[in-house]
Amino acid sequence: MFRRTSWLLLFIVVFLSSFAGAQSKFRPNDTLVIDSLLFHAGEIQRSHADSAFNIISRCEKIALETGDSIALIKVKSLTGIYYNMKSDYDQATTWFFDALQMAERHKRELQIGMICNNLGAVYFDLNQYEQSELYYERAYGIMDQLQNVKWLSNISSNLAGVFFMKQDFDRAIELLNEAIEYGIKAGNFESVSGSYANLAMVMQQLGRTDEALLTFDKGVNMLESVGDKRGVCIVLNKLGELQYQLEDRESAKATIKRCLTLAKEVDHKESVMKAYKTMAEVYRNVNSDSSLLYLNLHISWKDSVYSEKQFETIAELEKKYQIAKKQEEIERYKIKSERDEAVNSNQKLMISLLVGAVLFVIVLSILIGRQLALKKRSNSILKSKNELINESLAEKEMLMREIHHRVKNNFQMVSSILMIQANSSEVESVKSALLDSRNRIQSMATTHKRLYQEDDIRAVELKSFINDLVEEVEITNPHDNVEIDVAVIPLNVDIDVAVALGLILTEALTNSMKYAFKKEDSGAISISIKKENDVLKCVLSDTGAGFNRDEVRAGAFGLKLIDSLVGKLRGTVSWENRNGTFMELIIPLS
Amino acid sequence: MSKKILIVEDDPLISEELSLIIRSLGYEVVGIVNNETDALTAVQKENPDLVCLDIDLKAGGSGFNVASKLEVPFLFITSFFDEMTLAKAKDYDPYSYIVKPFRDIDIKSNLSLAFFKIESQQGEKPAAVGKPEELFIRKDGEAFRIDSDEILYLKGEDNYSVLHMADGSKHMTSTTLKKMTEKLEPYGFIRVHKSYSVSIAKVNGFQGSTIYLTEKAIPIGKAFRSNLRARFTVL
Repeated sequence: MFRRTSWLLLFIVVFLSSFAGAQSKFRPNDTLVIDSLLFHAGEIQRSHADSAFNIISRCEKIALETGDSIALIKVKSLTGIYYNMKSDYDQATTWFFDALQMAERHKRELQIGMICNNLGAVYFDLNQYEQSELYYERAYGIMDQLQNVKWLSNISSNLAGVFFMKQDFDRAIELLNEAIEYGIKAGNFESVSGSYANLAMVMQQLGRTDEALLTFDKGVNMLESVGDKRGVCIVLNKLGELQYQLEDRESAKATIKRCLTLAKEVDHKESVMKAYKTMAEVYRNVNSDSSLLYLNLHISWKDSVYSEKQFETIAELEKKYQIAKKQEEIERYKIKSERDEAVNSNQKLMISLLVGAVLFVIVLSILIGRQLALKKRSNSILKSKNELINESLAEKEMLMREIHHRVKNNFQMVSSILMIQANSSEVESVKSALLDSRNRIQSMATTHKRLYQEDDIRAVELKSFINDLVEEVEITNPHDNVEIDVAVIPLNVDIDVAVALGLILTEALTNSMKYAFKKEDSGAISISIKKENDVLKCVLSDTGAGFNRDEVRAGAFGLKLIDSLVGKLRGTVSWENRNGTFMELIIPLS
Repeated sequence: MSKKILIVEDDPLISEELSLIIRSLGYEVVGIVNNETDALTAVQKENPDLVCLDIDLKAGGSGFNVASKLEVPFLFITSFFDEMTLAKAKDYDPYSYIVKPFRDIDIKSNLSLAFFKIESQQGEKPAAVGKPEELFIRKDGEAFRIDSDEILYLKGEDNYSVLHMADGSKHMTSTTLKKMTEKLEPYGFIRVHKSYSVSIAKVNGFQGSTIYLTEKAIPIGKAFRSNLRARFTVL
């Protein structure tokens, strides 16, 4: 059930918004006004359905008066969408069929195609997949003939939904890939984001989890590269849900955090709301405080989405009231003239009626006014609180920036001292020891520098961090015939773990590069970091000469350093000779 | 004849380290000064090929002030690698950036970059002469023209590539990154990663295995590192 709902949601997104967009293309000069009204209605239909419906009904009147049949077709389709959104499928199909007949009579191919797509969507909602397929196929044929890639992308994506429900996964995948291709061609990125998320869902359903994750990755990359941040939010949210289902909490957390930042940036409230909900799920059973916090955030965002809608409804009510008042006035004039005609006979009754009506209007307006004022006041309190929070956040950020700046300068100074001292030393072994230490300091500095370049100021992304670190060691200790293979999982780790792990790997890797291979030897070094349950398992092995741990214990500073760092992390380290050095490091992630 | 470099840095430890590294790379350090006035006098006297300029000069004046008065090429040294400082620094048109805390390799690659740009501008490089390549991109079914020197970098995705332009806009082409880069190579483009190619003239600086463009950090892929280095040693 869970999967089915998420699939559907995406389709409605594609289907509605694209419909609105397509409206703007056909715009005969003489009906510009009604057309732009309809376009507006299409735009706001998802957020403010009732206002849109009002506009549509007004347009219907005008269209009927002017005999503008094209506008009437659009009115009927939009009305169909309105009822579809209210889940009144009988009404929706009636309006769509009406529109379809008219469009056929006037031979408006594009309109026929769009309406067929909408009918397909209604039947999809009704679980009547045979019918749905029939209409989608017809829409597809028409759009194919018109070479309208934008609509082809939407319809392919929708049609894929039908095949997904019919368990024909191969065909669904094929269609989704097609939808992505068309979407890219047409620049229809909303459809692309939906298709990627759906594709990943199909993969997941088939148990092809790796491919699902890969598809999500691709989708995010693609949407990021074209700057469609809302699309990225939608896809990230889905990815987070999947990662949570796979019980990869860390990744889910990171994904949702990313989604949150982005959604807030583009003010996509629905994504924020959903992201908090997933976050609450992720923390459930693990950390009930955090879970509660996220749940609260979810509810408050839901409230803000909801209260905006409420506000709209009240405004709507007020508008209706204004109209009612005008009608009252007209009535009053009528009454007055009638009264003049009739000789005082019904006068008393009329007056009392009138007074009653006026009283009613006054009471109503007071009630509504109070409601509005209350709403306004609570909104303004919320606003000032938000401002306060933002201010203190900005202050905190400034302080952090200043501290980071000082930390970086201090690192540079320590490195400078060691370099200058090394340079003034006459003894070669002292010189090289000092330069080694300078290298260690620089490795720590690099870790810190990374931290401040990323969004999260407490955590470091392990994969790119280790990759960079390995490259730096390679540059300092160049060896032409040694291949280094790095396989690290993407994972955010705490700065303390990152600094220590970075130093340990720098030591071990430098050791392998320097001592395991002779100058003309060729060989390989491999580094892998994996997460197993609650520990990080980190292995470094080389195909070089190997060494005996016990023999070198006394003098080797590097090994001593590794031991104390491992101790600091409460981990364990073991060394073996397996056709070369083999180091295994276990670090608990608490 | 080795290139002459002037260091303007107010921290004596850091400037000493910097000069040790720069000398070890085969350049000549013609002076180390720590304030605005001395910097301008030293430039007059020594006529350096490049000035390494600290933005935050506590000993007097600011690197930005010096930069606005300089007529010789310079690069910025800073530990403020945030958007605000970067945006401001960009206005002075430095040849590169060195970010503290730096490593030897950072100094090496950023000096190479600066001298590469200086020489390109002096007209010796074929990349700088001639018309920029005109490309035709299809968008919404229509073809329109863009100049290659408006492109910051290219990003590859499967079978298509996205051109990221200097004005922030993006264009998609159905050509692979490999083909696109081959086409643009004579115009100063170079592949730096499995999914990225950049215009060298638009590079602001190197740091470790990262290239910095105006507002974008691009990773240098391991397989492309030697390619990149070869490009600079051609100098």
